[in-house]
Amino acid sequence: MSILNTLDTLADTAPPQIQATTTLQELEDLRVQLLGKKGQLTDILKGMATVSNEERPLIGQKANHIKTQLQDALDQRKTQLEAAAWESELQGDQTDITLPSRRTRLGKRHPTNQTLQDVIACFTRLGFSLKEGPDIETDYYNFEALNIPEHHPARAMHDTFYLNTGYLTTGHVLRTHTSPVQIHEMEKLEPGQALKIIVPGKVYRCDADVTHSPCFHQVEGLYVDKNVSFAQLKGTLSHFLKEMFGAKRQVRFRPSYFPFTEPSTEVDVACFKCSGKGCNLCKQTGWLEILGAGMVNRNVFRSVKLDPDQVTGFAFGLGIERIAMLRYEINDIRLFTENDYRFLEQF
Amino acid sequence: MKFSLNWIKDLAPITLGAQDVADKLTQMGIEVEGIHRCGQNIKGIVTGKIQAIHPHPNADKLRITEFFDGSTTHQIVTGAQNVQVGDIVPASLPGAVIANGMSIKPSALRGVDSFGMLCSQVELGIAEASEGIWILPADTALGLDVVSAFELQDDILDLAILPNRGDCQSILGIARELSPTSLNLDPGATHPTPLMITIRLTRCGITPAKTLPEQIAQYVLHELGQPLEVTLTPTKIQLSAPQLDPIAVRKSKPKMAQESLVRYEKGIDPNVAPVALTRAAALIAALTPNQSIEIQDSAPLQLPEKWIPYSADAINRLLGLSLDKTVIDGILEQLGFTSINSQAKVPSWRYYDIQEWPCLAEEIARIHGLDQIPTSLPDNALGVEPNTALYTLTQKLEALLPTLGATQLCTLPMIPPQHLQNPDAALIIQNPISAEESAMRDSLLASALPIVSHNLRHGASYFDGFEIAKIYHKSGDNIQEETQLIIVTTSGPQQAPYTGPEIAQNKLHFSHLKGRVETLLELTRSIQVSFNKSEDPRMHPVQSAQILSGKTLIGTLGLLHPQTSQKFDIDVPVGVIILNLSTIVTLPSKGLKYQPFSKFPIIERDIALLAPRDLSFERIVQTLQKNKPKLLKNVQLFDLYSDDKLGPDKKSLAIRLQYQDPDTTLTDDVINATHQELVQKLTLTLPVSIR
Ligand SMILES: [Zn+2]
Repeated sequence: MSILNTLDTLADTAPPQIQATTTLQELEDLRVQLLGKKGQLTDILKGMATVSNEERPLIGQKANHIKTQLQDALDQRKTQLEAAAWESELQGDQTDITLPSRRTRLGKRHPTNQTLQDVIACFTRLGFSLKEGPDIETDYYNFEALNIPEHHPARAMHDTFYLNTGYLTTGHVLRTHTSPVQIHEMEKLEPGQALKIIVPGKVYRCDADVTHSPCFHQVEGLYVDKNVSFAQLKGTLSHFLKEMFGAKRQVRFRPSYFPFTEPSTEVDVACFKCSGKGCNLCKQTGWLEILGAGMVNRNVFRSVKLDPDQVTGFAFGLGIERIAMLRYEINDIRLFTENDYRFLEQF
Repeated sequence: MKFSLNWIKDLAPITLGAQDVADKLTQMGIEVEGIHRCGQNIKGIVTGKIQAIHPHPNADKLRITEFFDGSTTHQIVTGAQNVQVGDIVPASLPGAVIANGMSIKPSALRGVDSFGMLCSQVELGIAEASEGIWILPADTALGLDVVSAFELQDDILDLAILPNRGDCQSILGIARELSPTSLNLDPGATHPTPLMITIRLTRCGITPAKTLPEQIAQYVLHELGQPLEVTLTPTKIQLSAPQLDPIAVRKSKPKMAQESLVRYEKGIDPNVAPVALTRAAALIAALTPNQSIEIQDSAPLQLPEKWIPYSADAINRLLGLSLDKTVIDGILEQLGFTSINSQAKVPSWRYYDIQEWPCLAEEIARIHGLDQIPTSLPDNALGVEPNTALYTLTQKLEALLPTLGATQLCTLPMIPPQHLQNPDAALIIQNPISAEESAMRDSLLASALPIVSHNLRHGASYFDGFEIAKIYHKSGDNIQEETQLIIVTTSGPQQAPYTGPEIAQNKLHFSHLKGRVETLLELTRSIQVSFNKSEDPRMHPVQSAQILSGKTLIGTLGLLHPQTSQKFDIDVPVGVIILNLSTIVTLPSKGLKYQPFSKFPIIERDIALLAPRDLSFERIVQTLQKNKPKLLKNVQLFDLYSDDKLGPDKKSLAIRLQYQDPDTTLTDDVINATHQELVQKLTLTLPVSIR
């Protein structure tokens, strides 16, 4: 048989042998047997000495071709056998993927706090700085400095808790709104300095039923500068309401009254549930009242020794529980302070 | 306050329907709380005389009446007991519809035919409750169509009148808002009948007084907003219209009808008193013809004219508008102001509410329309100051804690006084809603433990909650409010859903709580803390500690004393962590600085120690670190046990020491020598032995 024929035979018989191996060791043994230093290919090429000069390049070419072919087949089989080996090893780790998981239990954020954080986040992006103030106030900060003197009819709108502070003589109240923080912060202002703050906090009213809690959360906003306008108030609140309730939601500004702002406004958004058609959530009006606002009353500036001819400002306030109740369709405000897990874990 | 639209239309030429009127009022700043449409479908009600009453053969509580409508007699069975022969009453005959929409058909009541129904004010949609059939005045004509004669169809607007708008507390005030320039104030123009007076008063939520002159006074009060005093003597009716200063009334709260008081408190148009007197006198004269009337003058309030200086420019700047001065002046004049040379004279009915030029700006905004004001954003776009440190820390903690498994709580700051820690420094509410919520809490534990108890009693298998909130107490001459974090938990760090070969149940232990504290304090890296034995009587005597930063107390942690838990009906171990955040943010912060780290390998050596049980781990670590501060990188406890074989007062500790040189690779020789020396120092210094 010529060398060429022997090479052809090798090219025909080796691939089935490679494919027939079942372990990596078998495959390695076969590789040595075929392509090793003492392997079949080397053996066949020992006969090169006897062939003619014309045939020699042909044989060399063919031998290289077969070597590459066999090496490819060996590599391919190796990949197959390796995958099979992994497969059989991993099949040993059988598990029921429908078993209950083992996980880190995630606690929940209280719905009041989630709503509060959403409100704060929007205003801090608009450049409002966060400030806080005391829950326990004097009559002066809660009422008088805010243009609500004693016997003012607006006091009737605030069901005030009075504190027995024993030996402390000044009359103290639980603040009925976050607005006293306006006074504290404006008192610190230097003439010409601007103020742009957002104030979250607890407020208190001696009133309790399914929609009233004796303690709830408000967020107060205040912007004081030269030439602040009602148009800027409208722009700021519209931006907030659209971010909070969706860009397409209709917003309505209604004239209203607060002693510490003038002009004053109450702001409504189109009802989430009926989109304005009228339902029980919006008491058939199609609108949900969200916040109160207005231009800072000149008497408020006077009480913090700012010249009302030099500064203007806007202020706004909103109740967090009310927004959370509307947002999540919660019908009883007492659920917020009951803190039942069956309630909290839904948020 | 309730307003009849028919009544308003007596004073103002309005053609709008109730909904349009409500929308208009809303846009002008008067909140509409409801619209009650009365008698929308009502029909077929007539007046008639009861000619006879017979007992019902089959029912004691029913009676058979003969109702004569002027031409025909109808047999009507009634359950009412207040009807007598000769009474004139309204009845709905077959084919009629009553206020609730029910159609009347001939029917049989306990075997007796009834052709209609005698009506009370409820069936006619006038009142929400009544005590029987409505007995009409004896001179009422028979066969009258009650729907038109008694004005049964009306729309009642329920309006919330704001404290500054005293002028809107009358039919006149609302009519003026809706139609400021064409009011009909001629007292003789409309003369309601006595029946209409009672119907309108009832519909507006006012209980009619006993006598007609008093009812007329009530009517005029609601119509014009001026309280009238009526004195009835045998010979005459005395009328007066007292004028009172609103501030004096608010201070003295004189005894008078609520309807009068609310109007005096918010201020009454000083010019309306004579109009009201004339109106009342005319009505009394018309409706009680044989009475003589004496009008008593009461001292009129002497109020100077009120002129408000303003500039169109300032108003435009405040609102963000650019209205022409003529437009502004036009709106003011339409509202009754007199505008001369940038001064506006306030009309008498707005005397108490208009104070300064922004009040005029409010009127311009209201009438021009708030929706006509453009929107823009503040000139000062950037924040003026950073957020407070306390808020920044609070936000970080609130974000981190749920990932550790704790659920956020939001509790009431008011607690029962018996749960106060220090009653002497406590703040007590004078007018609490209940005794259970009458003290301001001086510890967050008092708010949190009832929540734990509530949840465990309602089927929760564990509780793991946190809250960041304030506590309140007196401190010297001040009131102190401190923000604290509390964690209350009944479970270890992880609750396994089921037991299996790799999972051991985790029991709540001090070490878990300490781990949480350390995790939380990583948020404030610059604070170094130590743990000291706690002296808080509410806490477990052994498994609890104070958290100190230097000498400053910043918190407490540990298991609750079972006696404390029992007070709140909790019978499982409760772990508590309290951190005083107000204090933590005041601690000096060093700020973070990068420390170069060693690139050379760490070599580990283990030791097993037998030690007395009361020897603290901290002492072992301190002893080790003191002796080889440069090479000893870390000390880790990896096994701890005690049993009878070791002896009752012994424990075994397995400790891993990690060595690393910052500048070079450590050789075995160096490590072995160092380690041996360290072990020797340890056994010499402390009562421990190597096992
Ligand atoms: Zn709705």
